[in-house]
Amino acid sequence: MPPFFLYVINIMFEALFAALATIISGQSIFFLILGVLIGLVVGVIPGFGGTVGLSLLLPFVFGMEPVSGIAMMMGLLSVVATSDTFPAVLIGVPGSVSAQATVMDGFPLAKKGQAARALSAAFFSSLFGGLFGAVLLTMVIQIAKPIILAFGTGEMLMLAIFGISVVGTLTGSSIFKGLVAACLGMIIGCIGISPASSEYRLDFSTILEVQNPIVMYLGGGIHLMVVAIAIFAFPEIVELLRSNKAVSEKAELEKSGWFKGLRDFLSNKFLVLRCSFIGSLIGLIPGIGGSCIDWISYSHAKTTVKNNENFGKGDIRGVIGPESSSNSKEGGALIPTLLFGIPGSGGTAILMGGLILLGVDPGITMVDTQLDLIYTIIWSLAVANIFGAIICVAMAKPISQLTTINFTILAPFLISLILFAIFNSTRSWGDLIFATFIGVIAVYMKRFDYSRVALMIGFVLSDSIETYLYQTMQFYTFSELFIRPIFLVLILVSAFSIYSGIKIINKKDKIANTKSDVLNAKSRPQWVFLILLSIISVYTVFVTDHLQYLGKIFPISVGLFMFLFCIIIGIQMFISKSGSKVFHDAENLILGNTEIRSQWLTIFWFISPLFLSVFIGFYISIGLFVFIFLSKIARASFRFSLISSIGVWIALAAISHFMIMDFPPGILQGYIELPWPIN
Amino acid sequence: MLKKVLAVFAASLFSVTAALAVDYSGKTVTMWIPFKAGGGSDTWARAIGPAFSANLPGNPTVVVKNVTDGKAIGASNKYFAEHGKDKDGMVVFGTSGSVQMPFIFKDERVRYQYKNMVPIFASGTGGVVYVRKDMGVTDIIKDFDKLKGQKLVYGSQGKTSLDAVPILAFDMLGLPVNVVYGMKGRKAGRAAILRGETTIDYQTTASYLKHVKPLVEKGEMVAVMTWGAPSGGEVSRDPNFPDLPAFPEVYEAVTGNKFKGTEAKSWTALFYAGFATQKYVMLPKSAKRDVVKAWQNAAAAIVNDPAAMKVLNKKLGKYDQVTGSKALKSALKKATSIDSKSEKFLQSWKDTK
Repeated sequence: MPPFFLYVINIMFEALFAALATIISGQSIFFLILGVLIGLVVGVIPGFGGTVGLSLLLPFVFGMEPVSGIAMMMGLLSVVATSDTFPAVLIGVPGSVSAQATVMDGFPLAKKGQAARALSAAFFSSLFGGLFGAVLLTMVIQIAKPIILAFGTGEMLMLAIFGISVVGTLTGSSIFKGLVAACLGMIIGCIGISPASSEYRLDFSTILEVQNPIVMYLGGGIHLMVVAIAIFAFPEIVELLRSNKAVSEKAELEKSGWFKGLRDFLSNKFLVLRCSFIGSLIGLIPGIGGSCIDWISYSHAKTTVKNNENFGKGDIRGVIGPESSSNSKEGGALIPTLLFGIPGSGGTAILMGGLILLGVDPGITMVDTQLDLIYTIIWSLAVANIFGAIICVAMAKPISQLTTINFTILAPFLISLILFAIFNSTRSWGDLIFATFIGVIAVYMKRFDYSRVALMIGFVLSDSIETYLYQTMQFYTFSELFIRPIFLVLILVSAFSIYSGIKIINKKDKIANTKSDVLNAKSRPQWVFLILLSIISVYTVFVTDHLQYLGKIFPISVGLFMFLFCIIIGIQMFISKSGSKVFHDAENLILGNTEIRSQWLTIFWFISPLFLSVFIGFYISIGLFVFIFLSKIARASFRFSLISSIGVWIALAAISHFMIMDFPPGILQGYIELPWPIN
Repeated sequence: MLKKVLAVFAASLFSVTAALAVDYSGKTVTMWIPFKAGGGSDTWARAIGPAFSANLPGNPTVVVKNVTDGKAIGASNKYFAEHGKDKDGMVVFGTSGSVQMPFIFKDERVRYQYKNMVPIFASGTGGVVYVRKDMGVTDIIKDFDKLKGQKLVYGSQGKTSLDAVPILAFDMLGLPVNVVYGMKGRKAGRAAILRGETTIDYQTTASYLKHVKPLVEKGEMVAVMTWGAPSGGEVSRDPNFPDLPAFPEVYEAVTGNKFKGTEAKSWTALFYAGFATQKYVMLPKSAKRDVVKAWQNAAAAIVNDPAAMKVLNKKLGKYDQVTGSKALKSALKKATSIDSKSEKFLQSWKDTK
């Protein structure tokens, strides 16, 4: 090797280890651990992610010594994607955006009494992913520029299409139901300002007055967490409440939980490696967003492993895959942030704001002039991941005990937590109203086997597909596109993904046709639901028709396709015998079971605190709800109910204070001036 | 003479007592920011928050409250609905160009009125237009015809956003720029020109200095003009970039017309709203006079304190900070009021492709 290179490498390593010394000595390590602890808490609370957590830290970061400030922010950012697995596995609610796919198999594992195993396998994968991201960041930060710039809008469009193509591999037994769900997701994604023409779409402004609160709310679009929680958590909780049991179907949890998780991790090391790579690579490209990475790696795990029949029913590999990528993406996303000052994810966007407050300017010159700070960031990422994983693994087993408690006792706390998480999305009444609406649709989607994942993916990618499709057409001609190698590779990847999707569906077809548990008792609810979906599609077409060409072409196409798929399902239902899989109705599985509560009753419980809030405000109503629910429905002792509701009140007051957040007021607050926090 | 001195003394005494009458000690003052945490306006608010805390009577805690309910317009409406009649100055409003632009373009959703506001403090910025090196342009005026013949593509967030300033400027110059919409912010626009998908772009001063200037020095990009800076009622060269012509100058040189008339007036209004004085701290008009005075004094104290300004400049880039009742009022008027002819022009311009 020429001496010059040796010299360069020598310098690099020197800087690398000097940075490590700065991190672990002095007060920085204290701030790092503080950041890790806050990050763990933020990750566990559904609705709070790295974005919210970091914005909480910003006021404190201001004026801190740069290395300590960086250590604290990185500590937080690195562990959110680790601890958000807790609620995903234990209660089926993603703790933040990056745990969406973990729910798919993590929660069924918890139902089998294997929560500790799922959690620890997830933490080890997450740890590895985080370290992988840090190593990759170290290696490529100096040479990544051409890689990032090679991904133009055409490539991003293909990545988004690839994201949509995984729907096939993840959808339920009916491909058309999956497609309808994906279209519905895209329609929900179209709500708000159109990217190409800056017009308001689907905000009911054609029916209501423009300054109506509903129109104003929808003008801003529906927040990702609102959809994610409504779609996944709402139906699960309703179902658990109906059955009046604990999450875990076994009273005794399986022994040696975390050791088993480690073994699972080790025996799937190549899967972990591949998914970590996917996560970092997609994280590296700014513009595609971290929210579909989970699904891509989940789909990757499902299509590349042997014996994938149990995916979605509790396969540990369905947890390992997305968890490896969800943490490795942060390392990837840091590269464009530091290199160009263009953040690759929501979390890194705020991190950049924080770095600027610290007087550190991420950008092209940083690699040349402040390499030591970049290494500080990298080491903080690595060290924080290790701390975070150790703490999480240690807590996995005790926390798993939660799954053995009767769900009716847990429900009021969870419902409060979820309503709070939804409200925190944009802090508006609209969040709660639309989450409820989407949640009720999701309950029926689950019942009739319309893929909720497909809806989520459609929603997440809706904006990317529309924007990049339009921009690609403006920037490139066809012949220019087809000489771009990455574009062509991505076409092949998408084609392969569609092919494996068809294969999986065919396999499912065979299984579904041999099973008899899909017998339909009555088909009317199915028809009602299908007609409702068709109405949504027709409505979309009609109310977007008056917009400019660029504003309407996407929603109208999606609406028409959705209508077409609805008709196909209708025809299938019309010609099929009763008992055919198109009539799948999960309700039949529990029919005749007298212990089951009515569906609408549980939905009513879920939204009753909201009704109450209309009159007395959100804050009072939540505590009251906890009390009434515990004492009347869960039949807990008066003392326990009272202490619980006071506990919830104190927790909410603390959050309101620290997050500078007002809860939605009710009619009462409109008439009487009340003191904080009930005002 | 003695009379004069006494009068000044009495006046200063009066203003001191007036300021003393407002006392925020032990209180928490909220800055209502209609944007999410971590963005430009949020960073700005968090930087000036402590400075206000140090200079307001009683040194209150100043906290930033990010209100995102209904995006910038909705959150601004909400401020006016909830605090539009406040007297005590406990909740102040922080706006930015994205709040002013829909107001100028008469978005139906806007329910706020700038005439009901009292400006306390304003920060401005500038913008630099640059092109890719392969356009072969070094001086926009001399090489104008060459530039006109190139494939010009600009990545935009939308015509009624801050991008109205560049898009109208390109139109006025007669540059055949293909505007591609759907960019998520100026950062995405910068990414697109780095990839070579767009060929002409602008960045605000702070972002230009950080991210584009190094590229200009390396010879990958060429800076061609600035939007200018306000000086004495005119828009002239930006003092941060004395070597670059300002847009009005380029317009006059290239078209041979004076920078006058409806188009020029409309552009100037947009420029004031989006750049020259784009971020304001404001109080509702209902605020007590003492309260307004206390805030204005605090703002003046911040600007006059070199240590505080050094911190601000370091965190935010060197922007003009406007204080003082008169200067602010005229700036706000320029940024938010527009004659009916220009308004009509902008309305029809908005709807053309």
